Amino acid sequence: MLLVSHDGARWLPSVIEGLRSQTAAPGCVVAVDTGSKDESATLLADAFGEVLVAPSSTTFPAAVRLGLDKLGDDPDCEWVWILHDDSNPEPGALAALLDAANADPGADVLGPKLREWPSLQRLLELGVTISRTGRRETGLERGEYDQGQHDEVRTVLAVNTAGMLVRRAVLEELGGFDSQLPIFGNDVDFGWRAAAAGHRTLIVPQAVVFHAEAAHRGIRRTALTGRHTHYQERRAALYTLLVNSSARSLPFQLVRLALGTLLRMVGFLLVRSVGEALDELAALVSVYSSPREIRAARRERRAARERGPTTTSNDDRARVKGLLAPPWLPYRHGLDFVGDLVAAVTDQAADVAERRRAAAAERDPSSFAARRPVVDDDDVPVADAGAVARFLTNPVAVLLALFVVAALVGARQAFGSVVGGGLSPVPGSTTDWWRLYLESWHPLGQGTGVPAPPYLLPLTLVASLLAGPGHALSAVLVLAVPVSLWGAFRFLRVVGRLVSFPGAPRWLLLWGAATYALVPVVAGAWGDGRLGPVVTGALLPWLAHAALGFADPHPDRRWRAAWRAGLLLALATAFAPVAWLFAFVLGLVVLVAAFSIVPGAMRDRSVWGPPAVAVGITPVLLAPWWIPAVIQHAAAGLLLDPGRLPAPGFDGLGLVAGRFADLGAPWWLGVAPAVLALLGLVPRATRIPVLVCWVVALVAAVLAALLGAVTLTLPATTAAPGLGFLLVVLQGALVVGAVVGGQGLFAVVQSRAGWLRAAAAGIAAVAVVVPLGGLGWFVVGGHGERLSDHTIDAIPAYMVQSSMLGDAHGILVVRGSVADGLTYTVRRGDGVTLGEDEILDLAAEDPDLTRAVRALTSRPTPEVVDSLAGLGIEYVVLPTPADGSVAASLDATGGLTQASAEDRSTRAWQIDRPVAVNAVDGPRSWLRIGLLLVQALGIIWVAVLCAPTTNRRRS
Amino acid sequence: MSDPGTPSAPGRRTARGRRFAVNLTTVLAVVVPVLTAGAVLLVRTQDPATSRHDPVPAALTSSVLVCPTAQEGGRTVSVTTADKGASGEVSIGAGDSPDRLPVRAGRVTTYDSGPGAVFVRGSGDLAPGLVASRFATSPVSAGECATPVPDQWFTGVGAGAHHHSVLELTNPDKGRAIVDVTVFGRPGPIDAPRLRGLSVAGQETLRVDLAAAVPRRDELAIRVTSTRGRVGASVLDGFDELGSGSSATDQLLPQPAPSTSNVLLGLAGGAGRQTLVLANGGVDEARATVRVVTGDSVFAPQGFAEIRIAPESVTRVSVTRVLRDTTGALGLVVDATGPVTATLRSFVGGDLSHAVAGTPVSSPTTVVVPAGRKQLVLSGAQQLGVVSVVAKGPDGEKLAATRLELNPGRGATVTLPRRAVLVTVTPERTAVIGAVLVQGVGATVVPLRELVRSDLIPDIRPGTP
Repeated sequence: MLLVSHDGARWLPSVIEGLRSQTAAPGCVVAVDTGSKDESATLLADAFGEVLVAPSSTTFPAAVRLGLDKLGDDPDCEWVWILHDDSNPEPGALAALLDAANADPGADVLGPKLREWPSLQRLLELGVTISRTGRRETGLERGEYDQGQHDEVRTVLAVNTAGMLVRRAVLEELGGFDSQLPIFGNDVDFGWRAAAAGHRTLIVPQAVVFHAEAAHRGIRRTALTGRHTHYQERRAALYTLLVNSSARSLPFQLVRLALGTLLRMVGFLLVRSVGEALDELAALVSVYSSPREIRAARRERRAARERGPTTTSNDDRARVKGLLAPPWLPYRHGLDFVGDLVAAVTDQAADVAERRRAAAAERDPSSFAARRPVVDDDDVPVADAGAVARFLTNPVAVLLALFVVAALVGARQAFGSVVGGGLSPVPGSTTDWWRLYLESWHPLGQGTGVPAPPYLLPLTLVASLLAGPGHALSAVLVLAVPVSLWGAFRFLRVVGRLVSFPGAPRWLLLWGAATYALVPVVAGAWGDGRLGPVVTGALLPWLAHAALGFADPHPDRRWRAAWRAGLLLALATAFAPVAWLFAFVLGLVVLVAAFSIVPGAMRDRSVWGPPAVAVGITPVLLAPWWIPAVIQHAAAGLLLDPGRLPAPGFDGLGLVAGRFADLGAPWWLGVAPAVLALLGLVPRATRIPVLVCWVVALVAAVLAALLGAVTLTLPATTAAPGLGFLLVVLQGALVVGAVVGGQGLFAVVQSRAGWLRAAAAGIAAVAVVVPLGGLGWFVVGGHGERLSDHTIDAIPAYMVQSSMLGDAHGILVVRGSVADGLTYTVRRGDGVTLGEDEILDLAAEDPDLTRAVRALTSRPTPEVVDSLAGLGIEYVVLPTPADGSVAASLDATGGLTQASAEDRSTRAWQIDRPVAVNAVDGPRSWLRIGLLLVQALGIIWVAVLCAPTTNRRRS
Repeated sequence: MSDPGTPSAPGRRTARGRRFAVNLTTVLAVVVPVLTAGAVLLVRTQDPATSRHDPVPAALTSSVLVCPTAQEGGRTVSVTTADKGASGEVSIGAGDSPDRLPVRAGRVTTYDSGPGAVFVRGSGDLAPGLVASRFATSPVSAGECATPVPDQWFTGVGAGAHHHSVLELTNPDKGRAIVDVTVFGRPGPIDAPRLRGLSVAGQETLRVDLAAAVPRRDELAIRVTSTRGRVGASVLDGFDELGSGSSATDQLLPQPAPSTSNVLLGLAGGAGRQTLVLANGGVDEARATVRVVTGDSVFAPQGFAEIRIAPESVTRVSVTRVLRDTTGALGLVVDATGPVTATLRSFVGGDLSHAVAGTPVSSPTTVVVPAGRKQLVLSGAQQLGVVSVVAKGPDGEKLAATRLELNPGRGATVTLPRRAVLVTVTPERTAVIGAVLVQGVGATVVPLRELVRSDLIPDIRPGTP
């Protein structure tokens, strides 16, 4: 018997007791103590006389070697029984092991059943194997009780070294344990080598050893384990896999382990165990950076195999393969992990209202919150009904599904290519969008450093997932209304529960969600392809739902809500920059109101901190956009909505009715939410929440009035700030106010009868017309055909092909007439695609080019043509209607050759000189690259912080 | 239920407190929507500004005049500049190696060139106000060297044996030019596919014989439009009196565009035939009235009926008797209800001369005229004005200077010295239409043209993509 101990004084007395009470007494006992700082050495000396003392840096294999050397050539010791200082054998353990060894003479390594110490009932290990990704598999559930379910003797790959009974000859032949594995993982490696050499390992469940797993649990810290047991264990597993796998599968294993490590890192980040994620990476790096050791170890094993018994190696390999964990096991674990995560997310959805009620009940058991009211019949689920039956018998669910289907039908224009209105054509591939986003100097126009618009990043990520920018755009437009509906329904449900315990009736929620989801559509923004109002309309209810988390009683969840709200606000600001301004102003208003109403609660930093963080994180996450924009004198872009100019605007009536000027459904359908929100102020019980909604609407209206007076002067035109988001917010606030007011009215009406009921029914009838009318208008196609724009480009195809050869091959397009003034643009590459409009609108005028064009259209000389070639212009095009005098003077210029166009009245010329290849090159901006890195890291960090809490216990 | 231990009247205290809180809420419930409505009323988004940007006039820096192929005995090109004090060299010639010709204001410089078309190019100071002419002396015939114009009308061309015309297109630029010629005849537009898309190579001349291209017996009018590049167009009109053997040619000058009022000045005196040819440029029928301009008045002759011209067609009217009966007739005024072009063709004494509708001149203008008996005919004043006329000789010496008043509704003539080659006319307070009638061996009419001194620099700004 060989006992290795290190700082095991806690357990040694019981272990020694257990050893003494063995029915089959061990022949010779060797105790090795590796530099314990407590009285383990003395205890062992008292019990067994001699103790081998080794320095504390001795590894486990080295300690075993020492013990074996001490045993010397003693012929009695045919079997070696290895024990740890925290493994306490049951009295009949050794006897059972020896019986099993006698019963099966071919078995060379035997292991007992390991049960947990101190509970003594739970199974720990019954043999261990390893999966192809390096995970240690015991085949048992976590914390499984021992009820005799695994009680047959079987062959396994390896047994734990605690309680292992091994033939001395085999131990010597295999060279003991691998010295590269100092403390963890020796067992699997040894078992694998033994199996590869033809030896058999048995598990004997009749022998029971109680193991405290001190080193693994981190209870015992040694110089070898350090603080990162996870790192050591993982490194051991990787090493074992690499040195023991067959040569054929080694390259595949190398790649697979690397990818697997990355996946596991992501998994650990998702549950916010950053330390373990880094441990994974460190283990991978450590193993991959010592190829010499691995090669040496493999050579040793190959030599050992050749020396071994005369069984064929094919048999051996097949046998080893059978003993390893099945190949589908890692994927099963992955699925389990994802399932855990999803369960955690849906658990989180148990909303803030419930938690507040629970917290309030805790504080004051006699309050209303603690009362258990009569459970509504609707909430009791029908027993024994399948999901489909439950769905079909729930009218609200059916109506929601029908609404979604109708919305998809109405959005049929967005299936396929979407061009027109505010949307330029999408580029050919996702790499174009990546390049546009990541480059700091764009070869557009005459070259500009104006940064790419911020909404390009989320769109590009979606396009990378969906394999194409066209699909991404279609997906965004098609899914906007359903996502908005879902978010609004969730949000209104929580708001209803915050206002009163039973919450709002589901029909009211359905009405509110449907009316809100249709706001961007009936406003005309969807039909005109304005991504700002459409996407922020879909994001706003989710953002509001996250912001409700600021009212949570637990500070931890408030901070979580801050990160979520911050990320969603950054995403919304990327699509509608005014959103941040609105959030900032609203936050100020709410803070001022909170400080004046409940000053005491505001002293706690975790009350005002989360909203501040949520608002403050957006400028950091969007830094690569607004900082270069300000530096490049393109600060006007900080207020513009995405899309082609001119953008539609609205006046006062349009804002109240939720319609953009000349777009959208009939305006009289849209004033109903405003009227209903006004009426919602009447029921006294819900007056305060409705007032809050009105305050939000007031902030939106005031901001709209202020920003509407601002005119942004761009180099090519003037534009108004993009106010679509404020329209959506105002309509949303009115809808929420109407729903809450309806809830109050419903509560009042239930108790009264007569004229109040009739009035409520009348209001309901009027209210229902709004979403139905809007949906009908959408499905019928009232928003027009703007998104299926099929206008043919005035530029001939061969010029487009030539301009694709390089960015310096530009096409100068001159429009207008001498009498009214001429405007020019330069078309490069594949033309203006989605994402490039905003850059071109903000790019400053190039005075050289203006001078050259002015000379070209009035007094062209060959020098002017040379300067145009130097500015990177290859063709000059005057689309229909072409001004005759300009065309005539261009005809007369030397250096311009006439080029043909499909339309006879479009005039075109080619410049004879070769274009200057670096005409539109520009400097790389390290600032923007640095800010892009900050953005990437910031997004990852905030995303990790947003992840839900999963309660995972380490196995 | 109230606890007996609580202070008296708890309800009222709470009720008062609640009423205070309720009042604040009620007040807010009224104030906030009102404020929101007020803010909403102030919302207004600006529409993007779409404005016109006027062009800026600036002096010409380069100009080119195209002189038509020389008629017999008329290869000399006479060049001058109308700008006071300007002098320098112009490039003159055809083909790749032009000559340099020194030109001074107030003097006429002559140049002997080959028989083909000649380009006169001026740059810098000499570009505005460059005037050139190419004359044949016997019979006298004026060949006007004009700047290329994209669109012009030639009325009264013929494509038959009796009356034939040759259209000459000259391209002063290096690149190829494309020209469309639309032909109108008595029944209406004539389909002439061979005259569409005529291609004129750089610095080349294309001569189109209309009798070969579209042989017809009636009077024609053609509209010459250059769709690509620039061409100088000129028409050499020939009139053959078959049988008696006399034939004559003269350059037929163009009219820029049809107009409702046409003033034709320059009647060669003597017995002969005068024919008025009218072309309707519009798509509606036009009715034209003809009046005669004399030194005393402009009057409608008796018995001269209104002329009806079908849309896009040409009408010919003989005005021989009318002009014979009127003494002192200087020209004709044709007023129409629609846009028409007009040419008066005079075949007098075996010589052909044309009086084409003139364009109003409101700034000082200069013409180069051949030697011979000549008089300046003026009319078309809109209000009372004064016209100064200065005539200079071949060496630049002033030969005569006159100022005369011009009344509206009247014509005026100024007899010019025989030796005069340069005539400068300066109208004040009104625009005039005028022509110089030269009568030597044969007659010809040299119209007064408004000189192009400046071009427009358009406003250039970047546009939205």
